[in-house]
Amino acid sequence: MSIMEIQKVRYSYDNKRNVLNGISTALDEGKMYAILGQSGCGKTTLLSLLGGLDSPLDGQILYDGQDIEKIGLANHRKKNVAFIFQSYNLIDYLTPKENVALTAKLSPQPILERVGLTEEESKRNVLKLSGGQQQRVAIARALASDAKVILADEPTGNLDEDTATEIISILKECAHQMKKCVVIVTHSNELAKQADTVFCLKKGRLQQL
Amino acid sequence: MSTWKRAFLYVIRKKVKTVLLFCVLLAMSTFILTGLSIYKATDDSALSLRRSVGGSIRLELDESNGANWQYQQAAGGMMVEYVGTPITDKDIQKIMSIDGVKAYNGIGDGSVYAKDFDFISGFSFGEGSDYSRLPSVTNSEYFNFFTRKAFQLIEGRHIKEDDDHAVLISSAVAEKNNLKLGDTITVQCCYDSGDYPDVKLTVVGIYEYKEDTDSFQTTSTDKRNRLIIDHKAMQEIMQRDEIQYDNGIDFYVDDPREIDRIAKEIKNLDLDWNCFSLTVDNSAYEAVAASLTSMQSLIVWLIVGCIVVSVCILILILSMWIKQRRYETGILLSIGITKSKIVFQYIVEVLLIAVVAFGLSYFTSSLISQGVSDLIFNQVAESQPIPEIELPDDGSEYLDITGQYIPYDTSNMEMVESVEVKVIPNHLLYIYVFGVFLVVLSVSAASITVIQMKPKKILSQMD
Ligand SMILES: Nc1ncnc2c1ncn2[C@@H]1O[C@H](COP(=O)(O)OP(=O)(O)OP(=O)(O)O)[C@@H](O)[C@H]1O
Ligand SMILES: [Mg+2]
Repeated sequence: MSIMEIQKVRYSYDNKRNVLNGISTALDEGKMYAILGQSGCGKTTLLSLLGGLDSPLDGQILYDGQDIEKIGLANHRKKNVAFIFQSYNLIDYLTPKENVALTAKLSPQPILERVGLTEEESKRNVLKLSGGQQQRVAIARALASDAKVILADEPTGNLDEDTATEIISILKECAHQMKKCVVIVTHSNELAKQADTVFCLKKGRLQQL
Repeated sequence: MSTWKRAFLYVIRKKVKTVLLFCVLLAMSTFILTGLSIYKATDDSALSLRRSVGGSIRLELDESNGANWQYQQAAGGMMVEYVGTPITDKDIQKIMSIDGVKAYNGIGDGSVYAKDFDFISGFSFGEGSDYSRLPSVTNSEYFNFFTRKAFQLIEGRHIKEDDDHAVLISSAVAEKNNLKLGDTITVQCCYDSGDYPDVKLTVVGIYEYKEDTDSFQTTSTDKRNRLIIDHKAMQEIMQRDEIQYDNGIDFYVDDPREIDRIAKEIKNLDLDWNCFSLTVDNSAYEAVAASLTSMQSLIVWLIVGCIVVSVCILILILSMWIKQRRYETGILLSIGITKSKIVFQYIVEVLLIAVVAFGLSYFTSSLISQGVSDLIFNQVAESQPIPEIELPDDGSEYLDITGQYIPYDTSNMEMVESVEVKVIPNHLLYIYVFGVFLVVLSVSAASITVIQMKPKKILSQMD
């Protein structure tokens, strides 16, 4: 069974123009999904609905077969999903280790090493890490939460090509080896090719490529 | 990671903010603590001032009820005789047993010629006018002339309840007749209805009285001629079997603030209220208490002002800082930490700093409170008129031997010029309890931006 299901989801900010217009799809564990689309087409909106930051106007979103409204949005955010943002979103007064420990269900250090941070780096001030390193910390935090679904909104948007490739491969590893369900929003066709399934969001509808 | 640990790390790592907030909280608690200790000090000194000026309630024979008085034709003119219920020692005991009554002074009345010494002579109406009226007292320390500081005991001691034929004389009479403590003087009642013996009195004390500026004085109205004696001496002089409190009894209270309550309780006692009347005298306290009262209300306003200003500053700073933390708040919300926990973290952060700042304010406030108190006191004292007590304008002050209408001699009165301020640990406790309340209030008010934050805006606002 799919870990997440989207059923006929409609969403609009102003009730005039539908950003999302009846979207349905299913997402599985152990797979990486990429969502492509023009700026302003609603990618971030879709991701925030998946992550329980807001509710769709029509339709429903299921996690493990259960409506996330029933699970409770805050509870859903806390237990089932983890976000990774373009701007890394680390807390500046905490070290990488402590940032990962924020969601700690698992011990931070092995996870940080797994995404490629040395022990010294994981005790530094987060602002003294490179962009790539900061995004690794964010990924480590997502992993540490033990959530099954990782939602990444343009996780490589601020990174150079090589680093972006590395980050994507780490996320791919998360999907394939750690059996997470990873959803990545990106503008890069190159990176999207790394995904198992690629969607394109256009005029409020989702097309599988 | 627990909320406590996050708060602790924030406080430790954001040093500039921590130091700034520490200073604000330290200043705030120092001012409030200083205010509290000055308030307490003025409260204490108000109490001791109230105790020292005292207040009295006079129980006397009711002159307005004609049924109690009988007029008779006598040799020198009309004689007035009291025929109502006399005030007895039993009545006195009943009143003394009321809570807050500390002492009493019964006053008898008589008039005597000086047999072996001279009064200070005043205007004479003719032969035989060189007499003086004299009061007998239970306890001269509580005699109105002394409590109102018109008389000052400069030598010897006061007359006590068990004295027998003791007398206090003025320094003027002592000087004129070359009298010292231990000397005896002889007096005789000057009434012409009956035979009165010579009575010997021993000088036990000498009082001073500033000469009246009023030039028109007869011998008997000149207060320097008052001989203050005990009741036993009066019984012999007037040839009476019982002590008569012709001029009533003054009851002294511990704390003049209680005086109305006590007067009410006396009124409720089973006494013959057809014959007695009760007068409350609280004027001295009211006159001197003014500077302390205005000091206290000034301080209350200062404390309230401090609290309002510091809460405003606190809310202002904190809401600015919390607004700057939207980004962090968004992150915490996105990983499923609830708003209430986030606000709780902010509260804990401020409390961690506050606990230290409040503790230190004990020392800073100990350093400044005395100085601040003196400063405020000077301000208040400058704007305060010298206390004055109004006199009845019916001229009765010239006649009254009981001292009822003696003006309070304010120059001899102890005015409160400063109070000794001490910061006590109890106040620190108030600061902690109240301070924690204020901090929680301020942080909650400042966190409105967080509480209003909608999760759906997190992603779009942060990118
Ligand atoms: N809070 C909001 N209130 C009103 N309209 C909004 C809000 N957030 C987004 N929109 C609008 O909804 C549409 C979809 O926005 P969304 O952020 O999902 O696009 P996106 O695909 O993520 O774009 P980008 O690639 O630039 O990040 C846009 O037209 C945007 O202007
Ligand atoms: Mg977007």
